[in-house]
Amino acid sequence: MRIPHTSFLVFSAMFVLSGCGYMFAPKYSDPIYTQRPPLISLRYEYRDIHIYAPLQVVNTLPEAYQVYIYDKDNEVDALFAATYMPEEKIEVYLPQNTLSTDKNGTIFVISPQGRDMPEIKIKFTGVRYGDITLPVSKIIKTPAIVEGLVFRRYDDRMLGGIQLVAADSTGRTFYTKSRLDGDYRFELPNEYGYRNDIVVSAGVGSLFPVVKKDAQFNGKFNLEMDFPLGPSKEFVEQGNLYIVINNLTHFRIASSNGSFTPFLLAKNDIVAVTQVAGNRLYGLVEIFWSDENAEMISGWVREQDVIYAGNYFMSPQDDLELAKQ
Amino acid sequence: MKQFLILQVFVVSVMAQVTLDVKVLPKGATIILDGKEIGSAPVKGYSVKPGVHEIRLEAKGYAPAIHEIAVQDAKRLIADFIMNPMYKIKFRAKEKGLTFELNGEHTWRDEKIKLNLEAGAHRLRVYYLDELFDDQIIVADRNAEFIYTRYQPELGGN
Repeated sequence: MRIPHTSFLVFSAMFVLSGCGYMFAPKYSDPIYTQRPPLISLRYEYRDIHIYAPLQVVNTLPEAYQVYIYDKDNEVDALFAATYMPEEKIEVYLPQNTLSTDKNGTIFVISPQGRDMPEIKIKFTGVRYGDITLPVSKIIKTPAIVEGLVFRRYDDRMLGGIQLVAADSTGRTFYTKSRLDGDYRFELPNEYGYRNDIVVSAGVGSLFPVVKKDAQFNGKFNLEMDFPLGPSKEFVEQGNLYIVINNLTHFRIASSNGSFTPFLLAKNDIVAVTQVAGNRLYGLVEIFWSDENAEMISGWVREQDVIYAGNYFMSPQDDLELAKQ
Repeated sequence: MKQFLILQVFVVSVMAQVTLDVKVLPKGATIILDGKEIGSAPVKGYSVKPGVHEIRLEAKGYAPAIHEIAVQDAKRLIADFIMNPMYKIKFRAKEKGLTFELNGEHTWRDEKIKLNLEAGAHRLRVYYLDELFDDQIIVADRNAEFIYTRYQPELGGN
């Protein structure tokens, strides 16, 4: 019998003692976990909300635009704020779901940087994602506004359709008419807000004597000026009313030709006639020092310089046909 | 009116789909979403609604993993997972009469035993005659043999 080599015996013994030693070892029945969560990485890809705010710049050039977006329930903390240069398109990109989808639940604010350009606020309804094009925003300097009422002094009745003219010292004029409820409104260019040479005339082209007032802006941009037109109630009760039809009509202190003329009457001035002597009429004219403060002065006019006004200044209905003259 | 409401609900539910991509290491792991198998990793372009979903991953040789994801309303969610491997550990004690306890729930008295351990740290407690004899953390990071020796803190220091 052949005896194995010593080294082979040593090798076999080592094999049995080490690896093969587990051959009969039991196996634990359950896997043993650490309960450690797996390594995880979550990455989101969002869609965009793209908002475009087109501008129409009228006779001005802001230095820049400050743009803010607010939720309507929180106008303190802006969802978005940025500055845009005048040459840039106002476009905003926001991540998906950053805007309220409530109706008009979001406010887009454009604040032009420069003198007298008011802030523009646009309410709009947000979307989860996608494009929003806002209405065109007109960038215009704050206009100088003159507004008020035109009414008949006799009974405070509102007068519609009355022509009003605003003219500056250079002869530049602006026109408007009173609405049926007597309201009128001039929107003059921004620079008039710093000027004091505007005169507003009401009643131009009507039978009412034209009333003129100075519009003194003095850096303010809103003036209220009411225009009472026609004679006062007290004056109307003095006699029959006649309307002067010629400019530079003499208003004499006596009926005779050549008697003293303290002043001349203008077309559309009103005379309350109390006496008639031939073709000469004696009566009163009403001179207003202010809207409430008037003085009546007596004198004579020629019959050919006036026309009987009937009850035009007291009539219960507007007679615009007559007013158009 | 009713039809309009149904249409609205339909439109909202269709609009609110999020595309889910799931990548898992190892490749080929089974992905179960809310109890329904949706495929083997990687899965691409699966549509889910925003909200909380449960993802369960299973792969041979890896510890099964369960994870809850609060899916946000977005275009796409890419979820990457790395599962923990399981290692075969040959455990051997040099002393007799000891009781071993792993992670507070697995107990044996054998001097030699084969264990299937998830990668990571495990707490090993050793009892002798029902008295706590040793308490140490062992780390499984490969298939290996683990020979138990009682933990002895190093002496000395500054």
